Amino acid sequence: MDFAALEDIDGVRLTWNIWPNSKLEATKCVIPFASVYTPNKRLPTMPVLPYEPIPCKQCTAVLNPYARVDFYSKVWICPFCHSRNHFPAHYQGISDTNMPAELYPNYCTIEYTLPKTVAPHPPAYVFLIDTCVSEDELGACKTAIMQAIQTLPEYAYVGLVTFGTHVHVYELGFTECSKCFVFRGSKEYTSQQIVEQLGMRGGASARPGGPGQAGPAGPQPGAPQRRFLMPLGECEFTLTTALEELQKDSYPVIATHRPARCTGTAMQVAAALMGASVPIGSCAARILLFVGGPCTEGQGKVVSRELTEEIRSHKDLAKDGAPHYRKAKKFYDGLAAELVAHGHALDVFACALDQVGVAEMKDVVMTTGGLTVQTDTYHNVVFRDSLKRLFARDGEEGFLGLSSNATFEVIPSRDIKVAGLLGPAARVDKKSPHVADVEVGLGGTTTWKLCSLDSETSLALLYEITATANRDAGDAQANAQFFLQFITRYLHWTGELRCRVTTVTRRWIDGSQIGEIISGFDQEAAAVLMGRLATHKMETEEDFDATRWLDRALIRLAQRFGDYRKDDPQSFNLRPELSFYPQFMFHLRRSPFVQVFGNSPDETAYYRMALFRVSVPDAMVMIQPQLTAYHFNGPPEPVLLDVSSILPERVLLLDAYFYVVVFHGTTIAQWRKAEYHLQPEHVAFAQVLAAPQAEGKEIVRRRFPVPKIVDCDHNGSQARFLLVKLNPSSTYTSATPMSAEVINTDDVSLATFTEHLKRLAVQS
Amino acid sequence: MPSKPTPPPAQTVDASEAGPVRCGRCKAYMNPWMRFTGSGRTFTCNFCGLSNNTPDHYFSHLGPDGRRTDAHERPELCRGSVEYLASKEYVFRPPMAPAHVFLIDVSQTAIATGATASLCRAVAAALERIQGGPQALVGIATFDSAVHFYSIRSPSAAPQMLVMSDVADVFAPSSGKLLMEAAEYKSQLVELLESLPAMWAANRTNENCAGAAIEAAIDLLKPYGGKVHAFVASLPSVGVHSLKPREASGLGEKDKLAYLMSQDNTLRSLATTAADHMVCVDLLVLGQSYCDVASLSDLATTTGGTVYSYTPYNSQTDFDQLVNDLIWNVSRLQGLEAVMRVRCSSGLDVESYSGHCYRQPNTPDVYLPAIDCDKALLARINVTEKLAAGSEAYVQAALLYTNMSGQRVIRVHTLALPITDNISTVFKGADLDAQICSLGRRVSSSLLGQATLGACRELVSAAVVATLYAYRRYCASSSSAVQLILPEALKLLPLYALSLLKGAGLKDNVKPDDRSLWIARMGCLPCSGVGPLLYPRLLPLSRLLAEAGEGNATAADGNTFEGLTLSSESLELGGVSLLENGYEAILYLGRDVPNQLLHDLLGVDSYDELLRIPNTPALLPRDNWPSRLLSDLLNKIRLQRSSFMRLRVARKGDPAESAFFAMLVEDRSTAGMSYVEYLCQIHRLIQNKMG
Repeated sequence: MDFAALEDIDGVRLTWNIWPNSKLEATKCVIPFASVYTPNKRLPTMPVLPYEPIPCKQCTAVLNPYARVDFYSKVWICPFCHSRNHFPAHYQGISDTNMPAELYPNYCTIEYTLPKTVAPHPPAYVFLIDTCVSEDELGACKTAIMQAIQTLPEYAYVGLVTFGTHVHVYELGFTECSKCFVFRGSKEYTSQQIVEQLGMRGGASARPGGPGQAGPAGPQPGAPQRRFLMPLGECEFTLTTALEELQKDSYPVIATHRPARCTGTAMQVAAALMGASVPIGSCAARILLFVGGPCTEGQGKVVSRELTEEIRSHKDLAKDGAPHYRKAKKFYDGLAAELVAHGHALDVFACALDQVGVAEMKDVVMTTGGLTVQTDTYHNVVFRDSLKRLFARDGEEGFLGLSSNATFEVIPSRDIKVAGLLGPAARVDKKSPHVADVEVGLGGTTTWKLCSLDSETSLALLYEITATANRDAGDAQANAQFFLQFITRYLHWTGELRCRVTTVTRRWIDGSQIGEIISGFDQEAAAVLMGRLATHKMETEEDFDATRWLDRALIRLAQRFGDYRKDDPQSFNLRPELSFYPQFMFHLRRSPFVQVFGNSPDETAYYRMALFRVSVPDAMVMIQPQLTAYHFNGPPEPVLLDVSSILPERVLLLDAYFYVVVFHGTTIAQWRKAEYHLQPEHVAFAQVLAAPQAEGKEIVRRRFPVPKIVDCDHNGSQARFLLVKLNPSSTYTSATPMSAEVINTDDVSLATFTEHLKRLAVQS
Repeated sequence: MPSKPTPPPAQTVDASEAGPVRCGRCKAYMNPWMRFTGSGRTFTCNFCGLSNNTPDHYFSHLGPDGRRTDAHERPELCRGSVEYLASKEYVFRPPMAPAHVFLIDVSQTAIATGATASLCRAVAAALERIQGGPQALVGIATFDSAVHFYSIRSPSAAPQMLVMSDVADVFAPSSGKLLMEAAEYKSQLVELLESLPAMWAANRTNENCAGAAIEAAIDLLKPYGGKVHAFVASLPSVGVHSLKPREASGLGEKDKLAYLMSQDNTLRSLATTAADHMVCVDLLVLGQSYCDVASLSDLATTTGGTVYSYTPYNSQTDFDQLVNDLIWNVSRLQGLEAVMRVRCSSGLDVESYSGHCYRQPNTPDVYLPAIDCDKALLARINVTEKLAAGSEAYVQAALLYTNMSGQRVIRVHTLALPITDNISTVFKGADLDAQICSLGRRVSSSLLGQATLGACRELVSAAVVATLYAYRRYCASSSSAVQLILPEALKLLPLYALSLLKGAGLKDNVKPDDRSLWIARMGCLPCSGVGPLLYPRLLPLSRLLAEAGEGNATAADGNTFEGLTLSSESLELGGVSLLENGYEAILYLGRDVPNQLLHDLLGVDSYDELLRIPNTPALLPRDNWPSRLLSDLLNKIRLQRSSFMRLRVARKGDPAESAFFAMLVEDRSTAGMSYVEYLCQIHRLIQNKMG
C-alpha cells in the first residue's frame, strides 16, 4: 500500500491499515493503533459545499459516502451506529443519478460552510516585546516587526505590549501622545484586575447581565472606550512611532544580576487584553511573544536574578533540582487554560543565546496551537523570515494557511475507543461513549479545541480496540470494515466558518493472520507515533527510559512479525513492510527528541513541539534526516544517512528539518576554493555546486520555522552539523576505515544495532 | 525660640576641609562665647564647660584683652549667626539636585472648574523660576482614577504617558525618564503642560486617586529626595489612601473634633516614609467643597511642606494667587534634606520641638525634608536647675541642609541670654510675638490632640491669666486691686488671645477644612507671621488716597502703614478699607462710597450696580489714579509679607463681607465677646486668682 498517496487524499495516516478484530490480538501488535490526521491540510480537489452537513440523529456522525442510502424512501443508514436517518426536506430531489456531493465515493473529505454564530472580527495580533535586551538586539527585533507589520492588511487589529521590569500596554487609540499603562512585573494580577485597570470593563467580551457588571468601577457611560487593539489602518502611525521610540528597559541591572524580566506577567496581561478586546470565537487572535532571555521576575519565573544561580538543565529537572520549574509550569498551565477558553494562540519567538524558559511555556504554545521559533539572535534570518511567513497571505509565498478556533471531533466505529490525542490541542470536556478506559496524552474525550492550526498541524489519535475475539456478526459487510470520521469545525483563514469532514474506512481482519496485518503496517506513521509517544512518556512518567522502551517495542515487533527460526540470528529476516522500521528507531533513539544530553531543556522542548505539530513526512525528516548526493555521474540521488556516504567528489545535502547542510567533499571544496566553477569550461562543476543550493532554498521556502542553512566543507568546523546525524559506521575504533571520514564516537552503528536486534528477536 | 534661615544670609565660613570647630563633648559649634585660654591653645566650651585643645590649624594668639587676635576676621567668633560649608563627614550621600514633581488633577471636576488649566499654566510659569541650575529635575504627573506619569527621553523626543492604573498598589514606573532636567527640557515641558488641558478635556472620570498619586510621586523621588507639589481638586475617592466624606460632627463646645484627625492611618505612615527618604509634600487644595485637609495635611506637616487652599477654587479670581504661590514656593530661599538640633547650656534642656518636621523616635535631631524661609521651628526650653544670676545662658541651633546650589551647609545660630533674678526684668524682656506664636502652636497641637474646643479656649485664657497674674503678683502687687495691670511688653497679650479665640481655629461654625488649614498654618508660621494672621491690618484706603493727594499714584512704603483698630468704629462713612492678614486681602466698600471712587476702582457707576454683578467683582488694574495707587499699595504690602494675598471685594451680602466683619475682632460678634468685655473677663479671673 502506498500510504503517502492515501495521505494526499485525506490527510490521514494510520499506523496499521488493517486492524485485528479482537482486543487480545490487538495487544500483540506492539505498536499502538493510531491515526495521524492533518485537519487543515490543503487538498486541491476537495469540494467546499455551501450548505450545512447532515448529522446522524443518533451518533452525530456526518452523512458520508459510506452511508447506505435508500433513494426510494429517502433514508440513509449511518455506517457508525447503523441507525436509520431520514433525509431532510430539501434533499427530496436526490436519486442515484442526482446525488449530493457528500455521497460521491471519492469525496470522503469534504468541507461545508457553516452559518456564522458570532459576528466576524478581523484577525487580531498583540505584539509582546521584551525590552531587556541590548539596544542592538532590540533594534533588530523592532525592524523585523515593523517589516512584518507592513505586510499586514489594514483591517487587521493590532496591539502592543512591551515588558521588562514592568509591563507596558500601549493605548493605540490615544493620539495626543504615546500612552501606555504600566503593570508591576513582580505582582500577581488576575485577568479581571488587568481588564479593570485598563478601564476596559464593559468592553467587547462583557455579556449583559453577567456577573462582571455588578462592580462599581469601570469607565463612565459616555466616556470614549479605550482602544488598545485597533485596525492597523487607524493606528499605523501611533504603532510605528511607539515601536521606533521603544528603548531598552531602563531599570538598572547590577553586573552580577540578570535583567528583571517579567515574561509571565506580561503574557498574562496580553492574554487578558486580548480576551477583553476580541469576542470569543470571532477571529484569529494571536499573541506574538518576542523574548530575549529568561523570566526572572514575578509569575512564571524561570531563574533568579542572581547570576550565581544557573538556569535549570535536564539534570536539574531529572532530580527535581530546579527551584522554579514546577511553580512556573503551574502558572503557564493556568495561562494556557485562559487562552484556550478565549481561543487565542500564543506564538513564541525566542531569540537568545541562553535559554528563555520555552520548556516551561511549552504547554501554552502547544495547547493553543501556537508557533515557536527559536534562534540565537534577532539578527538571524531564521527569525526574520519565519516572522514574515506568519503574516503571509493566501497566494503569497510562504503562506501557512493559518486557521483558528477549531473544534476537532473524532467518531469511530463500534468496538473502537479513543484513548487520547498527542498534538497541539486542548482537551474539551464533552461526554462521549467512545472514550477508552486508559488515557494516553489528552484523553478522556473525543473532542478537542485548536485555537490555531496551520495547514501542517497534525494530530495523532490513539485508539483501543475493544472487540472480543472471533465475534460472530450477523452483518458481515458492516463487520468487515470499520470507519473513522474526523469532524473539524473551524474559522477558515478567509473568515468563513467551515466544517471539514473526513471519513476513512479500513478492514477488520482476524488477528491471527499476521501476514495480512503486517501488510497494512505504515512504518513511517508508526515511527512518528512512537516518537510522539516516547517523548510524551518522558515528560509525564517518572524515570521513564525511552531508549529501553523503544528497543523493547522494536524487539517485540520483530519477534511477532519477523521471519526466523528460534535461536538462530542468521535466519532472521524482516518482511519488506517492516524493513525500514529498525533504522527509523535507530535514528529516533539518537535524535534530540529522545536524547537530552547536550541539549538544554529549552531546545528539547522546541524540538518536541515541532515533532508534535508536523505531519508524518515532515516528522520523518526530523527523525531520520534526508541525505542527497550531488555528483558528476548523473542526477542527484538519495544516499544512506551514513558516514560512508561522504566522498571527496560529492556534494551532500542534508535536510535535518531544523537545518539544512550543504556539505562539500574534499575535492569539491578544493575546486570551489580555486574558483573553477567561475570558469566557463567547468559549467558542469558549477551546476553540481548550484543544484544543492537551489534545493536548500526550496526547502527553506516551504518550511516553518524557516530552517538554518549551513554551508560547509569537509573537515570544516560546521561539518559537525552533518556528522552528528550520520550513522557512525566508521569510527576511530574501526579497523579499516571504509570511508573518507570517521566519526569520533562510542555510539553504536546501525549495523551493530541490527545485529543486536536479530539476536534478541530470535531468543525464545 | 523660633529659628529660621532668614535673609540676609549669615556670613559663610568655608569649613569644607577640616570641618567646623566643635566642642569635643557636647559638639557645640564654635561661637563668640567660647573662651580661649592657655595663650589660645585651649578653649572652654560655653555650653558644657569642657576645656578643649585648639586644633592646630585654628590656633591664634590671644590679644591683650584675652580675645583672639583674629576674632574680628572669623565670623563664627564675632557673629551670632554663621553658615559653614560642610566638610565630607556631614554629607551622607552626594547632595542631590532639587527635584520637583507636580501632580495635576485631571478628573472631570478639576477640568470643569478650570483647575486643571490653571494648574498647567501655573506650573509652566513656575518652571522658569525653579532653582538649582541645570541640574534641577522636574517631573509631571496627572491623575484621575489612575496616575499618569509623563516621560521625555531626550530633548528631541515626544513625551510618553505612563498610566499606573493599579491605584491600590501604586509605584513609580522605573522605565522611562520621569524626571527631566528643568533647563534642558523646558520647552518640551511647557509644551506638554500646554497640551494637557486639551488632552484631558473629554475626560469623564470623576474619581480621583490623589492619595495614590502622592504615594507614587514619593516613590519616584525616593532615590533623590525633593518636593512633591500635589494639587488636589476633590476628595480622593479611589485607590490607596482614598478618603470618605465625613460629617463635621461635634460642633459643640464639649465635643471632640474627630474630623481634625486623619481618617486614614496609612497616610501618616506614608508621610513618615516620605520624610525618611527626604521627600517633602506640598499640598495645594483647589476643591469646590470638602477635601479632608485634615487627613491630607499630615503629609505636608510631617515632611516640612506647606498646605495651600483655594477652596472654592475660581479660575478667574484665584489664578493669580495660585501662580504667585507656586512661583514663590519654588523660588524662595530654601533648603533640602535638612537636620536640625538645638543645644542649650547647662541648666537648660530642650523639652520639645514644634513645626512642620519629623522626629524619629529616640533621636534628638529634627528632620526636615525641606525647609524654607517662611517656616519656623519652635523649641521649648525648660529650666532644669537654678541658674546663676548675672551669668549668661546659651542656646545654639544648628541646621545642616543642602542649599539650592547643591552644597551641604550648616547654619549655626548662637544666642546668649542674660540671667536675672528680678522678675520685672524678665517681663521687660518678654517677646509678645514669640509668646503668641508659642500659644498658637499649643492650641493647634491640642486641637489635633483631640481636645474639645472648650478645653482649647480654656487653655488660651488660662495662659493669659497665668502670665498676667504672675506679673500682678510678683511685680505689681502694690497697685490697686480694681485695676487691670498689664506689663508694658505684653500689654497686647489679651487682644491677641481674643483674636486667637475668634480665629478659624477656635471659633464655632468653621468648616472642617478651614479649621484644619488654620492648624496647619499655625503649626509653621514664624513669629512675625502670627501677629498679622491673628490681628489683621486694616488700612483706610479713602484716607490714604486723600493723604497721597490727587494724581499721586505712589503709596508710601508698605512697612510704615499703621493699621487701624479692628473694630467697625474704624470704618469711615463712605470710606473704602483694605484689610490684609498675610494670606488674603479684602477691600471693603461701604454702602456710601462715592460713585466716582466706585467707578475708578471697579468700573461700576453705583453701589446698586455693584450688587447686580453676578459673579465676584474683579478688581482689574484700571488706568486711573485711585486704582493705580491701590495696586501700588498692594504691591508694597505683598512684598512686605512675601505673599500674594488675593484681593476680594466685599460688597453687601457677599461671603467676603462676612469674612471681613469676622476679622474685626474687637467687635462683639457671634464668635465671641468684644475686646472690652474680654478684658473685663480676664481681670475678673485674675482677681479671683488673687482672692
